[in-house]
Amino acid sequence: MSRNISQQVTRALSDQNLQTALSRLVSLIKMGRQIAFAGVDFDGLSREVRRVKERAIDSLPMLADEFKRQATASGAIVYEAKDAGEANAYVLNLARRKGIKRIVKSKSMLTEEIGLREHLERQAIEVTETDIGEWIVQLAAERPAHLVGPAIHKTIEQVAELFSKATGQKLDPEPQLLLDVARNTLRQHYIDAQLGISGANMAIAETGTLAIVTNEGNGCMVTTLPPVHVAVVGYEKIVATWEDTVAILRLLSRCTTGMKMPVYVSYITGPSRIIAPPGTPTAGATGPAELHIVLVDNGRWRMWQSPDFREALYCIKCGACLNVCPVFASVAGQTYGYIYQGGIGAILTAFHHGLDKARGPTSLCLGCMACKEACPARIDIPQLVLRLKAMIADKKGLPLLDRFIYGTFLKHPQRLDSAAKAIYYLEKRFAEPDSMVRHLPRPLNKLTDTISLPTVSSRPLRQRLSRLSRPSNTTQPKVALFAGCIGNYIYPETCEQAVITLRKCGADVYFPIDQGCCGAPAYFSGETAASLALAETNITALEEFSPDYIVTLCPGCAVMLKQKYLSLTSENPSLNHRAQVVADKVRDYSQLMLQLTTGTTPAMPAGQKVTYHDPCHLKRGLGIANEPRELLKRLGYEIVEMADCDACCGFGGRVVLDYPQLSASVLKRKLDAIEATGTTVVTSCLPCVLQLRGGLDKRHSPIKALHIADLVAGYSPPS
Amino acid sequence: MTLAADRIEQFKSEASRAGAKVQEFASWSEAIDFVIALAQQHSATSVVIANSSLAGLIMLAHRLMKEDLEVTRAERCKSESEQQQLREACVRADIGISEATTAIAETGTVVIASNDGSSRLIAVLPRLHITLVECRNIVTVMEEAILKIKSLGGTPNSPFPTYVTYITGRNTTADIPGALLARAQGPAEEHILLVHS
Repeated sequence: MSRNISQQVTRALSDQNLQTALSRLVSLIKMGRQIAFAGVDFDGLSREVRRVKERAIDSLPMLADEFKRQATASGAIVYEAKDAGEANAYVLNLARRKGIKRIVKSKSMLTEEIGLREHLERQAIEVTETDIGEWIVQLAAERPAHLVGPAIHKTIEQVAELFSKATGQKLDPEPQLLLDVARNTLRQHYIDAQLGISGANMAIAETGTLAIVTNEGNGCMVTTLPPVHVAVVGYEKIVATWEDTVAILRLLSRCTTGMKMPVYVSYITGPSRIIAPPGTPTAGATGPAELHIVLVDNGRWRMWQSPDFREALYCIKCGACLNVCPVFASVAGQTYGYIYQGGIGAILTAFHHGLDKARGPTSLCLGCMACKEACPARIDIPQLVLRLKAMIADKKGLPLLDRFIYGTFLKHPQRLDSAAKAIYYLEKRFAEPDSMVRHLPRPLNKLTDTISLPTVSSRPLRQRLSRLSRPSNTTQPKVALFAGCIGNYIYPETCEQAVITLRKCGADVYFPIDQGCCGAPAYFSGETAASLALAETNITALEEFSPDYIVTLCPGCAVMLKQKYLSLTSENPSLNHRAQVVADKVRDYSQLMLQLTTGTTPAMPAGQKVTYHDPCHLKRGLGIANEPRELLKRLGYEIVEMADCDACCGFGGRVVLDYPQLSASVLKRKLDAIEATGTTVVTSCLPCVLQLRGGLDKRHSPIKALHIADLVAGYSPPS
Repeated sequence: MTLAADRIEQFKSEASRAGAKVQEFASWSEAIDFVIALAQQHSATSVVIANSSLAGLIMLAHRLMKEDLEVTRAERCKSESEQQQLREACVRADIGISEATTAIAETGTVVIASNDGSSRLIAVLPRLHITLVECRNIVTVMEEAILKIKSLGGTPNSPFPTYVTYITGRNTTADIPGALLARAQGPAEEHILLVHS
């Protein structure tokens, strides 16, 4: 956690203008996405983008040479800048050499990354941002709040004031009037400008062409009206062919604004020219006589050389990941402190601005994987964020308290039992008769400000099930229960119910007594050594008695057992093989129940309504969304789907501990959606139950939150 | 319906959805009448016409001049002073008229290719932008458009076109708080005239 980011989070959450505008924008974007992707084969199109980017990035050194050669042949002047300093100096020298005093600029993340505008402004050169949203932000001397709507945090009154000041006339807060004023004022800037600065969305190696995408039309003017055009382009924008741009164009705007295509795509090859017969081109004509292309490294080649992070160069800067990010929807862009925002932003920030700058942004990740699902280049952003966390933990070390907890408690089940006992006694002093803790004294009060906490159980599951530590040697399938910490210490009753129900349905369930924490808290903090030790402990505990299945009530644990243990053990072949055997046996509770009850008819009261919350790690982590619904239907429940049933509940990562208010803001949207259904909410994840139940209790809601194992407790298959 | 007719229908529906006004004409003379009527309806006084070898566009220029409109034709502007005048005419013009090299049914996009920057000024600066598309030049998907664009270049006498501009629908902005407004910084109206010739 970073103090600075913490303040930014608080500031964003208490900015009422921002919150109102954000909730409007978020629902608009959601609607836009629905329309833009209706009937579209996103899977196929994103595979195509992935293929194009993989091919381009794999042969980037060669393609960069080809691009330089072709662009130079077409009459452009290509300059390669190692870093921000070199890029800025090149543009400044060009401006000085030509006596340039006025510049217009279109939107470009890269120029923000290197601080080009500020660099030129410090030398008394006037630079005008021409995207209307960017212009508003420039007039307010702020940073863009949102990729799609840079100025969404501004009210119409504030914009009227900014435009009044810029134009020297008193303007009323009328949208149409303000737009007309912006258009007319900016137009004069294009006409007067001596230089236009743009970025590029793609650079085509085979012809040395730039492809620039805009919607307002400002990009066309910036690149055509001034006599000199400078395009500042990152190496990762290079693709091999014109055909390659098609795959990207098919998804770029759909992901950004929800439009099928951008309004303007400008392919520019060299400076403007007239072909005067008999075929001698003259540079100049009505477009710029000079085109400079500044190719910028600034950490990109280092990213390229890193096998762990090269994938980040596939990013096409569409913002799809931000548009679906629940944290971004709560705090918007200024919170991250740097140019690139959200999960992918943390990676880019680490390479462009330094590893130490990325710690804060990584701490804002819930690990909900919504970004991974939305990325048109299929970048595994959550995995990259984890690698970055591990790198930061390696280089900078984890906070002392974290290291103490992971090293001292998580690794040793007995010590964890003692710690839980201590918490039990502490909590007991503050718990109300129904075993909920609604107010903790300072400094722990922030934990109960946003949700009511359950109490740690006086008897962990390990004690309750000690008699069940081995299978009973029946012919029934042997099922090992993996409880996880929340199952073991907080909701042992739910786990007990699951055991009873599963046994009734014909499973020989037992509880491997040596199991411990799955390691997720350490793993998701980047502490790989501690999680590897836990992986080995659990693999050993779970392979005894060779169970047929391993069942979990916590998808976070399941993801560790099924996926992360494999990557953690990849350097130890024999342990990796054992991890694979364990992984293949892991089943989610509803998945196993569905399998065990195949062919039976519902025995529960029919027609009762429930709504189902998809846990992130179950749906996006393990791809399980139908099974719990099928089970509910089989048992006679009617499912009333809530809005955004697979949106995160806010419990992920360490956000709930580090930024409880932020977690609460994400939770609020979830609870609103649940309450709108007016039915009991059921989910398949114990941590989600903790969060939903605590949140509903805090808002005195009559609605109950249950784990699916609670709901089906008491179910007996017809005999 | 034939394949060509399907393509035209798809183009019309996609371009309209993106905010363009699309009309189909059986002949150049009908299209030209439409442009004249449009100019009158908008009380236009000046028109800029992009570089084109299309006979229809040349006819159109003559008709517009007859209607007493100030007409600037890009192909006539070769010298430096003529170029400067052309630039000023683009800034001032009520209507810009372009010819599409190709148009893409998949997205409702018109593709304007040229070496000279005026083609871009004509497309964005005037209040009205009209693009004339010969129906036979409509292609189904973006990949085919690229084949056409690539066929324009490649010889020493005719290098690869400097500017290839895709325009899809009408420009809009949501940057002014609380409103989604048509006409951001480009034309207020984007007209596409499909002509069977």
